[in-house]
Amino acid sequence: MKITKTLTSVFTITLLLSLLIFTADQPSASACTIFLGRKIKFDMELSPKVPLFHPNKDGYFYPGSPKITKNLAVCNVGNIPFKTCRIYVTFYQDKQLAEGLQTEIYELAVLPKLMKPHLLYAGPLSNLSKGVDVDGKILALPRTSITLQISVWMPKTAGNKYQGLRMTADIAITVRLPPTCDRGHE
Amino acid sequence: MDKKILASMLIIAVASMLIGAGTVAYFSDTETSSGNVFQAETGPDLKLSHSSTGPWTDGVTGTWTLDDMKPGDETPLGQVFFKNFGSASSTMTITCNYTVTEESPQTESDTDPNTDEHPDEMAKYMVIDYIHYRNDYVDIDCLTGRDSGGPVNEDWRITDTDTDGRITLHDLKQDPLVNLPSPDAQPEEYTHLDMRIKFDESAGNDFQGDIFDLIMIFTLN
Repeated sequence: MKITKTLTSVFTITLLLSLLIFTADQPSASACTIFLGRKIKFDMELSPKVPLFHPNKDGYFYPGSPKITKNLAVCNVGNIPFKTCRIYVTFYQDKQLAEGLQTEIYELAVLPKLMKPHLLYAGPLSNLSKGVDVDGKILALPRTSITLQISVWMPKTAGNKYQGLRMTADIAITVRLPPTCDRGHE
Repeated sequence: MDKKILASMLIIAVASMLIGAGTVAYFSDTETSSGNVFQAETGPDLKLSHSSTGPWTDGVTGTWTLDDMKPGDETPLGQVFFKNFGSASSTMTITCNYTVTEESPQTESDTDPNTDEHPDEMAKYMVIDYIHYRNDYVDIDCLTGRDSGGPVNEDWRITDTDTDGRITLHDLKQDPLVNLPSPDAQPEEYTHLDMRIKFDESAGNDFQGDIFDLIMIFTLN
């Protein structure tokens, strides 16, 4: 009898603790209500699915060449909101070209008149090969998307050492369920 | 029996907790935009020749040569032809550099045995007598900055930087010719620089026996 009571207490405590941990790790109550009672689906897709940058469309880089700017939509195709939290680029072939290119990545506001674009990253393209944690501000609710504006250019000071180099890049975007990715920002 | 049920429930609760924590850990997603290609231009590739028909090389030598030059002597009219074998360029820059080599053994009458340490002093007596950048469409007199007698373009004019009344190689080094039209502008034409250099009459004994080595620098931008 005593053992039964003890086990009941342990069970209750464990159950409460698990509920507490689960709840504490969830987004705000409003976000929780979205998926309460549904099967959780955390899923993101990028659009367009074709490569953003190609010299046949954009031309070649040279010192002082104009910025080449492309938009990448980060679409929420699940039922849980998310924010952009990390950008990681893998380079192939003439990887040293990345050192001669600069990039800016902005998160565009849903209502551009009310909010300025939010800078996620600015600096050498090569730095993104290490992966950069970014501070995404826009919450992508289910069936909405975040637009990332990616600009790449070669500064005037680049010099001759990048002449004729060609590389391929895979741009990986990671999104995370808030508030996990908001550490230190909210 | 109750104990077994409770034990089972306890295991289920602990397992649920672990699964719950695991589910939270997986709440992130990464997707990749693949196959983006970045390519830098090959850049302009300027080649030079002493003739409009080539051969075209990365450099030419001996365009302006004057042996045993004395004050008042001048070089023949030297020509350098330009052709771009690379990607498009917009402008040409022309400047120069130089060194002086002291003769060995020293000429007794050479009153400055250290001109090699300050070659500018000799360059100030190397007068640019004639300098035209031209093809069939443009004829820029770089002493006046005028194209075929048109208005003065200061970018195309060598300024008398030391105000000694002469346009010299020292002035060209201090005030390069910039924004000259690229040879690409008339790809079917032969763009060339014609120049003649005179060793100024007023040059004194400081430069006797000295060798003046001129490097003309042509840059396509």
